Amino acid sequence: MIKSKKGISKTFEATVAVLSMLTVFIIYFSAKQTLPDFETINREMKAFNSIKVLVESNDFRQWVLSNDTQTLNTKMLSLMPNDINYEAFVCSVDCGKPNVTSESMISVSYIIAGDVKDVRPRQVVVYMWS
Amino acid sequence: MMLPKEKSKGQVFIILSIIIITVMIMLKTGLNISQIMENKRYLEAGLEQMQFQNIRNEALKTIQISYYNKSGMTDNLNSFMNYARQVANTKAMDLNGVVVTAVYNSSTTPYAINVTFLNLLGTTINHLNITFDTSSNISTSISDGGIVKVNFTGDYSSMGYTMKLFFNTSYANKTDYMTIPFNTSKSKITVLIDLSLKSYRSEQNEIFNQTFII
Repeated sequence: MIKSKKGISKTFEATVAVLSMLTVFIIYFSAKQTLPDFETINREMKAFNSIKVLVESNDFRQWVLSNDTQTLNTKMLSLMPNDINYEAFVCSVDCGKPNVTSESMISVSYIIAGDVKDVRPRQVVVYMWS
Repeated sequence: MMLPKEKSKGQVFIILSIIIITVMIMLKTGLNISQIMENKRYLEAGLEQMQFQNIRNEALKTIQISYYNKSGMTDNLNSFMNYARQVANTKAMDLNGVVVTAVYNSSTTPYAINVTFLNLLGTTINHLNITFDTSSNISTSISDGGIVKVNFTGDYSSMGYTMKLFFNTSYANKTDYMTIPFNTSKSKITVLIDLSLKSYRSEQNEIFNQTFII
């Protein structure tokens, strides 16, 4: 009889312990808190910094003004992380978009004033997706 | 004699649960979401600051690349600023401010300063007062995107002048000061750009005043 009572007592105490843990867990952790997304801003920063590196090149303005996106994309290859798909576009205001369907599509743009021979502002828009 | 020891073995579950709960609360407290959010906002503001610097640098570049079209320098700068504003709008950002150029041509006598004021404040300027040396010019009702051109002529002999630009809108009054180095043997263009770039994430403001020999 004594052993049986002890068994019941232990079961009761274990149940109280589990219930109290569950109660705290539900009350304290039930509020939905999602961690902020750093991936988007990190990708935007990387793309913008890649363009800034290319701007230092004397030929950058010529590539942009001649709409040479192929060279721009090739030059960015060594500057962008491997896990990011990207495509650069050159345009005045409304740029085209890559022919890709992705919910994670983001973009960053860099404006240039033009060049001595062609004082017309343009923007380079880099689209990124995963 | 064995009873207390046996009883304490049952309580170990309760003690363990208290320890686990304490650890969970400590973990949760250590995970400072607001600090993480603050770090993210800081990064986002950093990107917008770089975009603002991009506009600033390219605005000044417009003057440099217009070297072979000196008469078009001011128009090119104003076109660029309008363009930058249009691009900013497509990205849900507001680029507002004023753009002022003062061109001094050393070959003309009497000495003349041609001032061009572009309103990009996003609202009408009710009153604009430009003061140069002892002269002043008042303009009224300058709509957003509107341009005011003023000429100051005189016997300017000092090495440098400060042009005072006072303007008021329905929202605020503001005074900008434009430093104009003066040298009768060299034609110059002085640019003052008072800009702000606002988004839902941050606001960047800067006034820059630079002179180029032309």
